[in-house]
Amino acid sequence: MIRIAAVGDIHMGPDSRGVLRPAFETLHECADLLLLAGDLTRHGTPEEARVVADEVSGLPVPVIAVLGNHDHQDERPEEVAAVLREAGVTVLEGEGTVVDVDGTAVGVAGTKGFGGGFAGRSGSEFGERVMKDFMRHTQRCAEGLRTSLEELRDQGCAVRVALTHFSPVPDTLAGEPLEIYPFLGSYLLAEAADTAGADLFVHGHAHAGTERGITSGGVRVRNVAQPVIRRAFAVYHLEPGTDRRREADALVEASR
Amino acid sequence: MTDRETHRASPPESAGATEYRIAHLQERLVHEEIAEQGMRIEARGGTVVVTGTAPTSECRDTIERVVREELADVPVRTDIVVADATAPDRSEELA
Repeated sequence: MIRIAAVGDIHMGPDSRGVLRPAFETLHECADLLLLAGDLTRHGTPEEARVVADEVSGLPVPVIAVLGNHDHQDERPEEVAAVLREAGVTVLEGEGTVVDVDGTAVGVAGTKGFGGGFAGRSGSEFGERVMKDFMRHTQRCAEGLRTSLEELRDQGCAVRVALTHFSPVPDTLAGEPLEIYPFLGSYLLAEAADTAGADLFVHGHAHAGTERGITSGGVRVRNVAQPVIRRAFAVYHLEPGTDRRREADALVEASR
Repeated sequence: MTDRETHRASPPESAGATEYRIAHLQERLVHEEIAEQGMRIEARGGTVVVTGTAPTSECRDTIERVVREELADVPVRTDIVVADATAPDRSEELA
């Protein structure tokens, strides 16, 4: 069994130094790795990133992160990522990483992701340059997620997790105003996970949303924004080799 | 006074002003020191209701101060909780 701890949207600043550390120091008792789903800071400054770095430095489990929109606010995301990496955090953007959990290869593919909306109600790469840039950014994030999940599959990972900040499905946005859904996520992220396959999809960003959702391809989605999970982190247990999507495909095939 | 003049002085003008003031408040919360985007701020009747989760009690105090400054002449109700930083007491089985 693989135990995955995850939290997003911790929005740390100088006044939150040390707040999460006591809970994080219990991670070795309940989890094999910790995922951070973006919006780790408030303004994306290196100073705020150092607060986050101190919070997770030297933890007894590997820490894997993506950045969120807040971590881009100061337009220095590379510096934020560098501060986190110095503290031992693996920061992903359009790439994957493999963690060995007692001989089982666990792959995590990460991207910040972006908005655009959901199938049938989505923006298009059309019109003004700024609108095209908006949608192309989402497309690049989704493409990075798909290719990194496929690479993790080719590397023989028994469990694969997709990690983003923005949401892949509207399910986990329930509670947010419908009008802002296009700013909260994109179906392109779900399509990427459904195309490449994944055992779990973890995201944040939607503070007023709900925890549980599922892609149309059957990938379980969990919104781990801290205001949603109401804890320092959530823990999910996965059994290797139980890709429900493949099982469902096999059932469909057998029924033909 | 004609009907038209009566309409011109009717409440929708003040309701519109409150709507814009809430929008300006949300912009100020985003751009000031706390970069807060997670508050729900809604006009309900003659009052404004502010709900959401703040990362720390200091952030909650700042939000409440900014709301009071921006909407000084409007009755405001706040229900802002501070994020829970305790370790979970259970996990979810996804097998």
